[in-house]
Amino acid sequence: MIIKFGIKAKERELDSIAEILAGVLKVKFEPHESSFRGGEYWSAEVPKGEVFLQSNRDELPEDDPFESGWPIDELILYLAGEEDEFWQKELHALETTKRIGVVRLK
Amino acid sequence: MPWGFGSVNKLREFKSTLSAGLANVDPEAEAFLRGSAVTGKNSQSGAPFDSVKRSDLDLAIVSPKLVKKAKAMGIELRSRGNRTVALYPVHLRPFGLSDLANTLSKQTNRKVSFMIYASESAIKDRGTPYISLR
Repeated sequence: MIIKFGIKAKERELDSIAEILAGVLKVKFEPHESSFRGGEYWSAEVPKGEVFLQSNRDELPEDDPFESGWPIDELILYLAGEEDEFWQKELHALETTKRIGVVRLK
Repeated sequence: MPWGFGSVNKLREFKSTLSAGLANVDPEAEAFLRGSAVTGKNSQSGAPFDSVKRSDLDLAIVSPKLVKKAKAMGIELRSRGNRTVALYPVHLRPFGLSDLANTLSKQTNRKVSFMIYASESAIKDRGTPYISLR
């Protein structure tokens, strides 16, 4: 239901990576801020679900990163939908893009 | 008054909708507001509410019943199992919270985020301000 990716980019690059990913995924990101997502983040609603781009750093210094297998000061991307197979086009786009470094996380 | 509601009447409407919606899901559940709507600033950068990016309303719902359900659904728990991750829209439907989230979002013209906690003390342990929405 949630497909996770690590993005090889630092937290300070959040906005520029959102612009690149909007082109790669062909989605329209909206800027947000939430303590639940570690501060500033971007999300895009699509018919099959929602895409989230955020830092891997949670709200408090003592918190573990959202994704333990990824550097805390880098970005993470979530594809959240009813069925994983709905995201084939986006998965292909992420796996083949040369514009940013993308690693699928477990 | 917390940030993001615009007026006392809007806050009252929000509380009323939230209370009625939660009663359908878990009559024992209690709702609290966390994050920049309470502090008036971004938790990481310190930027004032809504000044850089539009702030969500972060709802902390205390419900041992829903935490148990989240665990059964395979939703990731954090803080030693005392809270869920921020729920995704796809999670809200099985909880019966999807329509409530949409209504609250329309009322405030903001994204409304949900996190389920096992107890109020689990919210308090975070050490950041929160307020009751009773």
